[in-house]
This record gives sequence, C-alpha cells and structure tokens, in this order.
Amino acid sequence: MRWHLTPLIVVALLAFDLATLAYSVLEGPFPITVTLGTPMAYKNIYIHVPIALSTYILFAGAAASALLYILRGGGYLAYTDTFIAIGIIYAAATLATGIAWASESWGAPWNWDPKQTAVLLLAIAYAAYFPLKRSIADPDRRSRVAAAYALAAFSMVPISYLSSRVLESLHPTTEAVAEFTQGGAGGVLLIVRIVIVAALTLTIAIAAARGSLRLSTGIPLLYLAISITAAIALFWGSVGGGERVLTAEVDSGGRIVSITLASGDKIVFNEPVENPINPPLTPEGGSSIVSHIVRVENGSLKVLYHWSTPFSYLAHTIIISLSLAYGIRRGSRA
Amino acid sequence: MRTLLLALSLAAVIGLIGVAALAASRYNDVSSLAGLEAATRVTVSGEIVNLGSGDMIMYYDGEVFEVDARGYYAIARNPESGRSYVVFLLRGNDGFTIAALYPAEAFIARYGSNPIFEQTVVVDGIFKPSVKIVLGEPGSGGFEKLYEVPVLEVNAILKGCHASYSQVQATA
Repeated sequence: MRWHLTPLIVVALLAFDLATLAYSVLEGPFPITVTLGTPMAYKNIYIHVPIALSTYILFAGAAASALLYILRGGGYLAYTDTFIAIGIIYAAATLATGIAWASESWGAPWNWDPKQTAVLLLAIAYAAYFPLKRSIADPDRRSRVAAAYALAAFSMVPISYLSSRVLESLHPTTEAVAEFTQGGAGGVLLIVRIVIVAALTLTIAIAAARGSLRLSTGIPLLYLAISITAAIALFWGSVGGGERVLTAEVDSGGRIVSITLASGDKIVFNEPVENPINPPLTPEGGSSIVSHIVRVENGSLKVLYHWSTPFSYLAHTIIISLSLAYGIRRGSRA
Repeated sequence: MRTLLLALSLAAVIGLIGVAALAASRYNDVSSLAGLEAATRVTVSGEIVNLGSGDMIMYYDGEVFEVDARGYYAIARNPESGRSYVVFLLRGNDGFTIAALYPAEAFIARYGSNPIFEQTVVVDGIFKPSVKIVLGEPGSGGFEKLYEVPVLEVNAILKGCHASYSQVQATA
C-alpha cells in the first residue's frame, strides 16, 4: 500500500462506514419473530458484530506483531502497542453495545453469561498491558515483557470466541449468525458491514502504528458531527414513549384490526390499518407487529427503535473517532 | 527463547484464569433449586421433558386445569376461571424436576402456536418450592398421577424456545 494515500483511503472508508451504518439501521432486515424483546433490537447485529469481530482482529494483530518482535526484534512492538490501544477501545464498545442489546433481548443487561464474562476478561487482560509496560524501567526488558504479555493475553481470544459454543450461553454461536447471513438481504448487509468496519479499523491501526495517519484533527470531529446529526435525524421521535404489542387481530389481508398492549390496553382501529412491518404475517400466520414497540400516530402505527440501537450507533461512531484521534496523535509525533 | 517461554507460561496462567471464570459463569442447573425453601428469583438451565401428546389433567393453585399435551409443552386451561398456562417440565442433572408455567396468551403471542423447543432450556422466573402442580392422565381407573413437582413462574425463556436467527427476515 502506498502510505501517502492512507488519508484518502481512510476518508473513503469513513464515508462508506457512515452510509452503510445509516442504511443498516434504517433499512436493515431483522428476524420476523424473536425469543424475547422487540425484533427491532436485532438491528444491533449490524453494529455489535462488526465491532466484536474487529476487536478479535486487532488482538490477533497485536499477538502476531508481538511474536515477530520476540523472534526478530525491530519496530514490531509499535504495532502491538497500537493494536492493543485501539483494541481496548473496541473491546469496551463490544461490551457496552452487547450489554445494551442484552437488556432487551436477554431480559437483563448483565447475565454473567459465558460470552459476556469472557469479553470482560478479555478487556481486563489487555487493559493490564500498558500499566505493566509502564511499570518496567529498563527499556529492553520492558519491551520483551510487554511482547510476552501481549502474546499471552491472546489466549483469551479463542476462549472468548469459543465460550458460547462450548458452554450453555444466551449468546448465539457463529453458526447461528452464519444462518442469518444466508437468510436474505440482511446477511449481505451484515457481511458488508463486517468488511467495511474491519477494513477501516485495520487501516487506521496500521497507519497509526506507522505514524502515517497524517490527517487534520478536524476529520474525526467532522465524522463525529455528521454521525451525531445523522443519529438525531434517524432516531428523532422513534425512540421512547411507545408500548409493546402483546397480541394483534388481523383481517384476511394482514391489516391490523386491533392490538393489545403490554399495559393491557386494547386499541381497536375504526378502519384496519396497514402493518408497518413487511411481511405483515409470520410463517405461523400471526401478525408480525407482535412484540414490537409501537406508538399510534394519526390513526396509524409507528414502530419504534429500542434505545440500544441509537446507543450502539453512537458507541460505534465514538470509537472510530477515538481511534482516528489516537492515530492522528501518533502520526503527529512521528 | 526465554521471552517465548515467559509468553507461553503467562498464556497458560491467563487461559486457566479465563477457563475457571467461565466455568463459574455457567447457568445454574435445575438441580441447584432442590435445596431452596423460600420463593426466589432464579435463572436456571434444564433438560426439557417430553410430555407426550393427548389429554391430561393438572392440579395447581386449588384449581383443576384441562391439559392438552403437545410433546415438550402443554397448554393448561381452566374453563371456569379462564386461567391458562403453557407448562413445560425441566429436569436437572440429578433428576430434580420443576414445572415452568408461562401465561398462555403471552406465550402464544410471543412464540406463535407452534413453538419449537430445544433440548436445553434456560428460564428466568420466580421459583416457588412450596407450590406444586400435580400432572396426570385421566384413566379408566381414575386419575393417574405422573408428576408432582414445584413451580417456577416464568418471566422469560432466555434460551431454548424458537431459534431467532433462523427466522424469516422482515423490514420496517
């Protein structure tokens, strides 16, 4: 890669990231029925999964560069430092977005689920890297111990990855997510999101390690400003204030005749209303509006987002901005 | 080489800590409820019991329920009081069994009329060791008791009913 092109590539990837992020939140498919909570909460899949996979990629990069440093010496430890610094930010975001989603789809934010616990341990293991490094005065010994620790901490990555497969866990396995990717447009969108976030993350991390991320400090601020503006536009009036649909009566065309809300209130429409969810019926023949959080507006139904989706949206844009700022700071020192 | 050995030793230590912590974070098995005496909110995992199919009778909370057994779950209705529940039995490793009760209307609204149960189910709810259901079959010689087990009033089925990721996709 020609590293003087890095700023252009980063800006292009940032634009792709924002566009696909907004599109996936706005138009991204979700399962028609879910075990618990609102199906709309599953829009988090387009945010949480790419961040989580990018975290693993960053820590794998840290382990590989640490091993290269141990075997060959040289400047590989700069890569380890950068991958871990950005990886810690991503791991924190993986936890935060997972907790937000779990609060709806698992019934409680923290369940001591094996996957949640494993990601927490992963973050703690890597968070110890910089304090450990700073605690050693001798530069040569510091680098060797740091490289050894970075390589050792990677042992938590396969444990975290496999935890939901080996142990009974609420978290879906990779195979379950793979099933989703084969289920239609949502799968394509998820893969596109994973590729863009991973490419953006790796480009920022490698450029930061090389000190070649020479961008204006205004770029992360501009990215954040556009993200927040887009978030306000996307979610304004679409979060909070609604009620969950417990049951729905439909006519022969799938239009909604009445709904019963979680509070017990029953709303009967003068004229059957169109179901805002497409398709309007589940494979079992029930209304697909059931379990959604809705608000009745001007005689029609508006489906609302669960708060975890805008939260994850903002968490994603904040970690990208922080990673950029970190890379720019390293670039300005180089 | 010394650095690599240090890395491997550290990896073993970190890995062991991770595995031990994860082993401790597993869901409690249904058998762990056997020692409880007071009503307690719990999250437990258990093997689902096949109830077979056909008509059964359930005694619960001073009422008699007509039960329609549908394999891994049953729908219990009391036509007089109008109360109805979805009932499924969860068995622990040591054989200790509980009856999970879920209000039928809410269950059907959430899972449809043909829910799919996995072999292992994780539920969150209030376990009431002193409250029991008696489930049996109406036979020619009278009521034949099959199960007399304590009740767990389910708040949520966390895992094991209706795999959400394999569903048809929808858009709003």
